[in-house]
Amino acid sequence: MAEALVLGTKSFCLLINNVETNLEYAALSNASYNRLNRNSFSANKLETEMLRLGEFNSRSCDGISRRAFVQAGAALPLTAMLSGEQIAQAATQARAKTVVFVWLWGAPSHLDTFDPKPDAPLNYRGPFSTIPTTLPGVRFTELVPKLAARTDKFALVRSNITHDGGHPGAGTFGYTGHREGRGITIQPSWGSIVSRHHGAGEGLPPYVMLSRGIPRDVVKTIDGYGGGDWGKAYDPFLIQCDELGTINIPALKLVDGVTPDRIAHRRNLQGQLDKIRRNVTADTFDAWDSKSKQAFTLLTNKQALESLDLTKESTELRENYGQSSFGQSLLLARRLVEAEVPFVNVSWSEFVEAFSPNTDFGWDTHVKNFDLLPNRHCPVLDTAFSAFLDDMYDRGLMDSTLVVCMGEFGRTPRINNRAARDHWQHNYFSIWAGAGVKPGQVIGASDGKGERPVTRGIEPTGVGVTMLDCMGIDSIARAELNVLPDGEFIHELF
Amino acid sequence: MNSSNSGPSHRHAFLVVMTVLSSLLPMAKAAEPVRLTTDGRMKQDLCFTYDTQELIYSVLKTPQLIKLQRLNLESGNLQDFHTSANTNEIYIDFAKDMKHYAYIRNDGNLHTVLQVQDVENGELHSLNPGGGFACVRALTISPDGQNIVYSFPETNGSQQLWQTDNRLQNKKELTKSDFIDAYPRYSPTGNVITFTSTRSGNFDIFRMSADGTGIFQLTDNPGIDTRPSFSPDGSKIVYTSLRQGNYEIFIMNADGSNQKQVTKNPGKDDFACWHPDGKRILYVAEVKGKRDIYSISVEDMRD
Repeated sequence: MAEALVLGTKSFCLLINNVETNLEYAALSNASYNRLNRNSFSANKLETEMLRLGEFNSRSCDGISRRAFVQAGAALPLTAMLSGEQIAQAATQARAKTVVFVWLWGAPSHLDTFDPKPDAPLNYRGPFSTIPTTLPGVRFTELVPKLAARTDKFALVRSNITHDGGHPGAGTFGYTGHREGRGITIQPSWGSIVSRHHGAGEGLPPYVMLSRGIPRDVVKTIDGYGGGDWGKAYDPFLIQCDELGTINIPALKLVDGVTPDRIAHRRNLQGQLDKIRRNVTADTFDAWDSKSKQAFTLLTNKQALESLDLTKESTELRENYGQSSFGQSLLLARRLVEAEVPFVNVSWSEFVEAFSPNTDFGWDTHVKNFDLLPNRHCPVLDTAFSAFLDDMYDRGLMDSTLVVCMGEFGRTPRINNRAARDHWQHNYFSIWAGAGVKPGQVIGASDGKGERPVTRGIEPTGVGVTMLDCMGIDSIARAELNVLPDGEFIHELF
Repeated sequence: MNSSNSGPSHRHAFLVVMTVLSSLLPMAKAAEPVRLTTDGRMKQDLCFTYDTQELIYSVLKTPQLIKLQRLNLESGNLQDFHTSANTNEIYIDFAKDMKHYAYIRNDGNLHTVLQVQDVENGELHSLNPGGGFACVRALTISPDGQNIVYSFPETNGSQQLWQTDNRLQNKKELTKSDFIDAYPRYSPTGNVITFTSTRSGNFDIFRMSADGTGIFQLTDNPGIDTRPSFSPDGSKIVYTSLRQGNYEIFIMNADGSNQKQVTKNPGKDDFACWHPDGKRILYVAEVKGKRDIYSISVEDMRD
């Protein structure tokens, strides 16, 4: 149960008190306002609520800070409340139809990629040289030349921080903004929040994860990848895309007698669909879990299915992305953007480990950092992500899509005793593009060794609030969903 | 070339002049590359056998497995080198008499061991670098098959070159520095080792006597120069360079002079080795998003 208050300023704001959690929220969204009206929120606690506005510490897309709310609330009488029509006129629309969340699982070194420190001692700066970018005075390492030539297409944040130095913990922070651990509530992930807010459409699920599997290390999967305490209905719909662009949907393997491993091959697909239709009765359908139902719905929806068919792309374009699972997954992500899937998560790998048996070469370079980065990881990232940005801009998709690319933390600025780099949660980078993000800028800065930000540290909650706000899930909507009461919107991006 | 133990400023000036001059030279005319594989998978660590003259390399066979593979250049036949291998295997090298070969095996989480196979008696020797995260890096086996040199990190964050015999006994540290030394390769006589090192501030190519003395710097570029390998007659070294902003294959004389660009491809060219005939270089090129093995003649460049 939530209660809504409406205050007036030159613009307007809505304040909500979630009665169950006693947390307050604020927002500026037209859509949220309409939802509030539909839900018959009451405004009978205005005066007491106004005194508690200071509890709210988020920041909106339009830069309305906590202080601004407090000042506005204190200055205006109740009669200054705006009408619903006025509110609607002033409201902020969602900036994006889709978020593409590119997850560099295992955590790439910030010093060896986008935040080099050429003036630091050799045992910090490492062996890689720096090259100029299209931004005056901004340099990357020589390992990412294509992205260095495209800094006019994205904004780079160099002051990310997180609060856990282990992969599962930092992974959950990176996906939910919250800690994981025994006895702790598992918060829903960004994609699950978007999924619940938007609801399921026809065909494609609202939260698609393109990965070989749920992000994990050799010990366990992260807790925060999906719906958490909301349940598996809000988990991501997993689609595997291999280096040739062949699609596999693991959820279908859960359905007795249905094993369409290769739906990209159209002849195979038709046979599999026939088999599905023969085998599936109303009773069996009802018995399936939500993911199996989603999978079946997808496979019987021609339009949705076509979105997964990379053979519809030109050979040249597919080549531009490179023959890698990551590259082809990014191309598939672009097709899902066109299909208006609200949240697409592309994960670099299933496992964090960079070089371990039966894992898929994540970014966790405790060893071989200076071998793997130039030999494999950075060339693949540089080629695939550059092609993705080019393709998205060429098709005019960036105005309505927010692209965020990051890992769960950075890596030790000081080279470790294995001539590599360990975990470093105190400073890392993220790349942002589209949906009104002002490209061609570097936000935040780290110190001379890349150890700590010298500007405001941007936390996972800030990343989440910014993504969700861009999707129209403002603080009112978040209050309704009882998620992310904290988090500072990254206003510098816009 | 000058020794690293004397006249560093003169050496540096010489290298800079030489590098500038070499960069001003037009790319020597090389024949068109010939594509040898077509699967497009990630490949690295090319090496020839001395008897059957098959090409051995490591390839990403599945999303979770790198295997050693053998390619017969005449028949085009492709086979797994170790058919039953179920974990990552990389970086193989052979003794000239083919009685021994060495490679690196990924036997645990962020852990690799050096393996030496005695072909005659079937014995497999394994050098375990210790518990926890620990990786033996690149290796080279002496032409007579008696010694293996490999790179391994030190606790101070550096990485040194070590020598061991083919039963993995009598370990000896060849380089002692604060830098990262990597990718060693014996000369055909076994008297000299060329390798990559950061002792110039970034990755450049060096050479030294097989006992670790007399270290010479051969290249000096702000971009990466790495993965050197001697030609069969020992007069040339092929290597990868990022000096122009993209990974290309270069060759130079064994003393570092006469540096020439061999490939010019918008994609990444890397992991070069000499064909046993000394007239061709084989390497992995990324062309149209695919990473395949190409052969290119350098006969006209050998002056």
